[in-house]
Amino acid sequence: MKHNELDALIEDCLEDRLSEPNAKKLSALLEQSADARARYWQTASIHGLLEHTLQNASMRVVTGRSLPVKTRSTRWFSWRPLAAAAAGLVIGLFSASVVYAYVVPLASSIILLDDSFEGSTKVASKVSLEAGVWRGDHAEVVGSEQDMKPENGQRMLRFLRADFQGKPRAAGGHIADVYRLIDLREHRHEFSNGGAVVQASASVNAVPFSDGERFGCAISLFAMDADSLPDSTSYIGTALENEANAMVRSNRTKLDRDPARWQRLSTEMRLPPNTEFLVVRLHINQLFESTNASVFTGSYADDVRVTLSSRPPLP
Amino acid sequence: MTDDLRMMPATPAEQVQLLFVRNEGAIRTFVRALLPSLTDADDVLQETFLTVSRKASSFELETNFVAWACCIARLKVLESFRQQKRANVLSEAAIIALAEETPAPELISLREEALNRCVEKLAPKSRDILWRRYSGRQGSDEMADGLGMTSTAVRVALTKARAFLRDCVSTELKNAS
Repeated sequence: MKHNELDALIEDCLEDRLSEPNAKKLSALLEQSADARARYWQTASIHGLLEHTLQNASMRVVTGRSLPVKTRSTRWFSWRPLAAAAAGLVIGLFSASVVYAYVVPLASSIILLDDSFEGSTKVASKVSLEAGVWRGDHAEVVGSEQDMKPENGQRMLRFLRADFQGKPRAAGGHIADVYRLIDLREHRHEFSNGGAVVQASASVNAVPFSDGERFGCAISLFAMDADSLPDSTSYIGTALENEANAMVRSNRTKLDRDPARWQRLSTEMRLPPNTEFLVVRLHINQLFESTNASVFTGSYADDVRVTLSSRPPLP
Repeated sequence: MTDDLRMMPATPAEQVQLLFVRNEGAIRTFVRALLPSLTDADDVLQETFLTVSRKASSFELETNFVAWACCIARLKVLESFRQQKRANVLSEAAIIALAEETPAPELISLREEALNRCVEKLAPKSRDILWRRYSGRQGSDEMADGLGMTSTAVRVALTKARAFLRDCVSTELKNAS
């Protein structure tokens, strides 16, 4: 059978409009032909992936830009009560690739971000924030290199430079930042009474560096509302610090010279009730100046986790 | 992402639930490929999740979770077809044959990465139609109304858009290898 005819049958199948004779015809082909099954998977996997791919693409649009069509909630958000009760839990998936919500009331926590950089290929080096992607200074997602292995999975984030594309006066910087925007509006009911805490952690590491160099790392959280998010004309770091409704930074951790040991950063913050977005910042700071201050030869981050947990409001 | 167990909850049920969430993309793709109705597929995904949770103690950590979950999902798909009692769907033998050749999760991930790039290459109109179909979950008549097209034209455009993506993803994967 020619591909055209098989493709037409597969299309009808995916659109759930197969006639009975064509259902038998396609079934027979799939039962008998490995080529037909391979062709089916080529198209059907696109069908299976498209919803989340399109939603991920739209998540890159921050606020102020409407989506072409209002998204209907997936059935994940409307569990049949009996089934949910039987399981004793409710689970909601927002975006499957890197950002998702995982709600288990028994544990009272939601995983907002669990990123080992496995699905990413690069960090967008621009000044504006976008949900679902890392933004900031020059950085890239790499596999094992320079005798450095990822903390988790096959990939990790490598900080490259303390500046971003188009930054005026790029030379002389000593701090590299990357940012991740998380849309919390789906979860506002979780912290509308002031009873929610966000916890964030990340692993950092570096290849051995000279005695004259020292590096400090930290993870920060910024609670934002839509009106206070930095736009493309502002420096993200400055704007966040000026506009955030709340912010917190972990202790600055000095990187050791042992690439076999990943060091863990962690911090937590109580969310103000009006929070709509959370911004996670990872940063590395070269503590001593050098002649090539804006370039990082081998500093990495991996396994970034952010959770939202309930905690009674403060008296 | 690997199935890192270091930070996992303590009970088997919680462990497989977390594994399910982490591998949800591959499992969802598997279910939707075999059961094209997005709504029915969502139901099966839920049923699969519940069964996976109930059978958690029979899953051996460090073995292939996706393969195990997809075995359960395949049974749920077949159960769904039986309950619908429809004659215009794939045969059980076809479903079983397809399930045996499920792409590996790593390949699904590669396809997803390629698909991300290919979606960016779509013409805005094609992207709009796909958005309506998959995120808006509109039928061809509803899409036709919204786009000022005939239902037939919408179906043709949808077919062309998916064919473009299929070919684009294949090309990207070939180039990558």
